[in-house]
Amino acid sequence: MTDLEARSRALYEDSVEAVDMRLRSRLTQARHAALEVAARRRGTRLLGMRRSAALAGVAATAVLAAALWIAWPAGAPPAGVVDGGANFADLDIVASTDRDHVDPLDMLQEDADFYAWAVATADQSGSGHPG
Amino acid sequence: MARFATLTCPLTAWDGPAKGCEDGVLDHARALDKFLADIERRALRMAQVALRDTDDALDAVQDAMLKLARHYAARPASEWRPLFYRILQNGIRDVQRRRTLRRRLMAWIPGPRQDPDGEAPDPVEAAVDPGPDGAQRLMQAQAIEQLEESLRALPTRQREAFMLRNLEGLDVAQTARAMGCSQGSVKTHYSRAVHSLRAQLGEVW
Repeated sequence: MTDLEARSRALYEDSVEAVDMRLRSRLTQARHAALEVAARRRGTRLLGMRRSAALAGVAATAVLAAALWIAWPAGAPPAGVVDGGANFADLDIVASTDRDHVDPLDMLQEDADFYAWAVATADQSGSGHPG
Repeated sequence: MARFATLTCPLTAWDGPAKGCEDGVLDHARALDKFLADIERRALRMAQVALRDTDDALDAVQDAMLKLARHYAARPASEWRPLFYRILQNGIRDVQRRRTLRRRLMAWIPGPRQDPDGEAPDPVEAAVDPGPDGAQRLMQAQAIEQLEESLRALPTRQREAFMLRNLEGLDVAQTARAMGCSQGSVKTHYSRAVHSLRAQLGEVW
């Protein structure tokens, strides 16, 4: 830094320190006004963000509801009936054979003669009874 | 409400305390207050040198403070200084343009010429109070007056470069941002300003 630069800087610093009280007071007022503006601005931004967040939540809920409404038309049967895959699986379970258990359909086939006799006997005895 | 408050701090956990965020906001406000308190008198002097009128200088500084607070308060504090000086320089140029326009308009109006800025300065009020160290203070006042006159005689860009670089202590990059030009231009303006000032003040100093 040259002499000229150093001296001009020192003089300038002195003049800054010499600013009178009246001007300092007005500068302080100006600063407070600016800080108030900054605080209001911050508050407005914060409020805006809160509103945006609330609106975003409402919009997301509405979109989800609309998507469900479109994908699930009115009058459609319950999911258990519509879901054919699940029903076939149930049938498989019922119709499946298991070595350790006797299948009721097989039992019915094996005793067909017995049941035919039982029905015939019941008819005869029914017709034999008075009234 | 606390959950919404956390939305302003992306790094804060959703269920974390909003107090940290509020503290951050308060710290930022305090930092802005301190920044403006540190810079306000320097800004006033800079505007006074350029405008020669204390009321206009105060208006320019107040406008610069308001604009910084309104538009740039959310920026990092390290950016405030060059931004503030850029706003201030623009404000000073606006005042100077308005004055030029007013002078041109006044030149077209017939009648006795009047000072468009108001009354002539009172010589008694303008006189420097000698005080206890009268002679020394008088010499200092004369020296600063000479410096201000020499600065006003410089082209605008040279004056801005010299005041921002040397008197305000901004580095070349910050000065370039404040002036809205390249760093090379800052160096050129500054070098020419120093050369001109040396030519003007060399004999007196």
